[in-house]
Amino acid sequence: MVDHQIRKIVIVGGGTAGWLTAGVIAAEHLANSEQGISVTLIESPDVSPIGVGEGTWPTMRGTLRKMGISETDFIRECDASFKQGAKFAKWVTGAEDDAYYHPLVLPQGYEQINLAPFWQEQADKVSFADAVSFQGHLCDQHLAPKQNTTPEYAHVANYAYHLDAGKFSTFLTKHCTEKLGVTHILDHVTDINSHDNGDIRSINTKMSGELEADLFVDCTGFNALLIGKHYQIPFINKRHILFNDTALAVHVPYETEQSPIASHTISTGQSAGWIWDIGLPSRRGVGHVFSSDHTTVEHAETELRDYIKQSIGDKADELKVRKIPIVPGHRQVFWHKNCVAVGLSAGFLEPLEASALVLVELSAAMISEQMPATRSVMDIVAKRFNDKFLYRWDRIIDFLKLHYILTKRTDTDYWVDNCDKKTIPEDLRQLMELWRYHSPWHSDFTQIDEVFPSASYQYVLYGMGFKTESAGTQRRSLDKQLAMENFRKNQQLTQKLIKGLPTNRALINKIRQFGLQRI
Amino acid sequence: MPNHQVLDNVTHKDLKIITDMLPRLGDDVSYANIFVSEFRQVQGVYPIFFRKNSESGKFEAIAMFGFAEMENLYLTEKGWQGDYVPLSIQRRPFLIGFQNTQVDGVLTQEPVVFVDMDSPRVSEEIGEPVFLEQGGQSDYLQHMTSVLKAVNEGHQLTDEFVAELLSQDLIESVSIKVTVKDGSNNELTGIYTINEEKVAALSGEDLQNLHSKGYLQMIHMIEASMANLSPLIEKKNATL
Repeated sequence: MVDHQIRKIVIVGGGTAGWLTAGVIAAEHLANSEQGISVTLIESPDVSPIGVGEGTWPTMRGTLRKMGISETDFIRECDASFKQGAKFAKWVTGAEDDAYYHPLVLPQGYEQINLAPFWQEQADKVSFADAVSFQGHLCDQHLAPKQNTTPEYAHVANYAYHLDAGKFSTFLTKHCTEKLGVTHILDHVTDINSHDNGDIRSINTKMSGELEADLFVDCTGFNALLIGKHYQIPFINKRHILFNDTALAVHVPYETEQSPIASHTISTGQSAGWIWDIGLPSRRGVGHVFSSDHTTVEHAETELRDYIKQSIGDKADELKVRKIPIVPGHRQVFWHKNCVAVGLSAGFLEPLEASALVLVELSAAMISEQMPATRSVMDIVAKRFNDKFLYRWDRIIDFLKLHYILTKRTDTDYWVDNCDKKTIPEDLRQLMELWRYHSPWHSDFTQIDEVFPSASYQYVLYGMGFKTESAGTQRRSLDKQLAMENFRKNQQLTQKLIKGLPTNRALINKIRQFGLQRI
Repeated sequence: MPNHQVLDNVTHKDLKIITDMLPRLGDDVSYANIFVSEFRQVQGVYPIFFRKNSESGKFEAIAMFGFAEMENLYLTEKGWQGDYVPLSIQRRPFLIGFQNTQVDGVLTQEPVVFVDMDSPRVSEEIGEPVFLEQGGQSDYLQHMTSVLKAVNEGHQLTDEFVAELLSQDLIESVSIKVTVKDGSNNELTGIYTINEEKVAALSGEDLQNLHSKGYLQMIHMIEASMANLSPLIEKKNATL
């Protein structure tokens, strides 16, 4: 086969993964012009997307902006609200007052100084998150991360979003087709046709004929039509590390229209899993993700309804619960021949720390940035992509597992089994050894664009009561005066922001009425 | 707290309004909203900027009078020392509101004059009478009605002008640092101005479009109004 240019991309599957990938590529590669790359998205008219993944990372702001989306439109049309981090309740002891924050802002002065060792001297007086950041206080009071005079996508306190995944797909569909030149086909894929070298030449559809392309993106969800069914790329199961294999999801109404909207994800530990609680402007999205080896679906559902009863009483019994099976793990490779998998087809672990959508964003960004000019360089790009994402999946698995191994809960086998050394990846075990004598810091990781920065490890480790021993010798960088200045600065900022920021609910109402300015 | 009442010649028959301009009458403001219809007069006296309304976050045009909160360098104990007083200042203590009324069975919104009875300008002893003895409108009230009408129309026209500037990306954030005689710095933040480079780079077609709406002239007036910044600094220095 002669070498040829990459001019046409077909994305198979809609949903947030398909449309985000389409939007990112179409915006960068000028799909709406003759000189650009043509982008077509085909989705089945009667496969409904899973529609979980209601939490994003701060990266979503940049992704949306690059696609030319107005934040005002996004917030209005996707039932979106602001997310400033996560609160983990009952993960350490399971007691009522057991909770810590993983905020999205970096610790105060993080480029200059590592505050963790200085905080440890006063660990009995103030939580790590409160000592080094103001964001836990903002979350406690349901405050927004910005004012209505702050421009679109700019922040006072770093933030991500909570959103309605179904509405988000619809919103992206409209933007991608009307503004970015993405061709949208609603049809069923019937066959996959190959070149002699094993590349996918085209797909046959029920009504729209044969679609040829130079690159195919598999966004078909758990079906994994191209990467799984067609190419038979093995799936690497990670359930021996991350036990959760079932989710029960439910939409919960607010008590009143003026009920506060939590500006953080609330994750509450249960007997054999944990419950997520995400506040959107019009409803909450709540779900229980658990290990079916450690509990029954019936018991998990009872725990879920009991949790919801705490806020809305017996109405919790009437809510419809949807069951979603999870096989935690990922493909052995993600880019094979001229096909790359993005989203659930590439893999899924569990909803903890909202890693699903960010992996879609990172995948789409790398495909778009490294877009091979011709078929002959595609294999090189594919290898780089696979290396990078295998590394990323491993780091995400490490970071998610970290949340479980620091528990002191022994009330159920679930928590005990999670701490079993056999279930902890070797890399993570080594890091834990390392951190016995120094706090996580920038150079503990090898890549410059780590998915979770060292700050995230600090928040979880010290939020869960981990102790790093002092090395016993002095260092020049251990500048106590600078540390105290940063603690003071954080206190001042906390006071100032609590006074100056509106509530999440108030700001969203304002945005719905007046919109945000672009500048 | 303002106490807004619909103005009528029975309830308010003895109402008088103090028209002096003095700090104690609430004129100690560092800026005021202005409307495109008065840009010509304003630009000869005050620097014109944009700022975001704290309630809505939307852009408004303003005339600037001072560098700190409640600092109006055009205001002295002898009154307002600028040749032109913006409409949004002149209108006080009146404002325009809308009431739902039935006209031939159809619900319409009628503009109605409100008066803030808690304003320090309100009096029964001194000032300009609002109504004549027989209940007719005084010349003063007729003038105020025309001011309110201009304010009402001004809001919409100015919003349209700002929307056009924003859609063409012609507004930019600006930070102005003014060092005065005693060495202290006065920094104006949260203000915006015309991006002159972007205006200069507009295509002939875009310029023609702005010109046909009268906006090009407004843009030039805003740019020219920056000449009033030095006299404002001089006024500040004179107070030190």
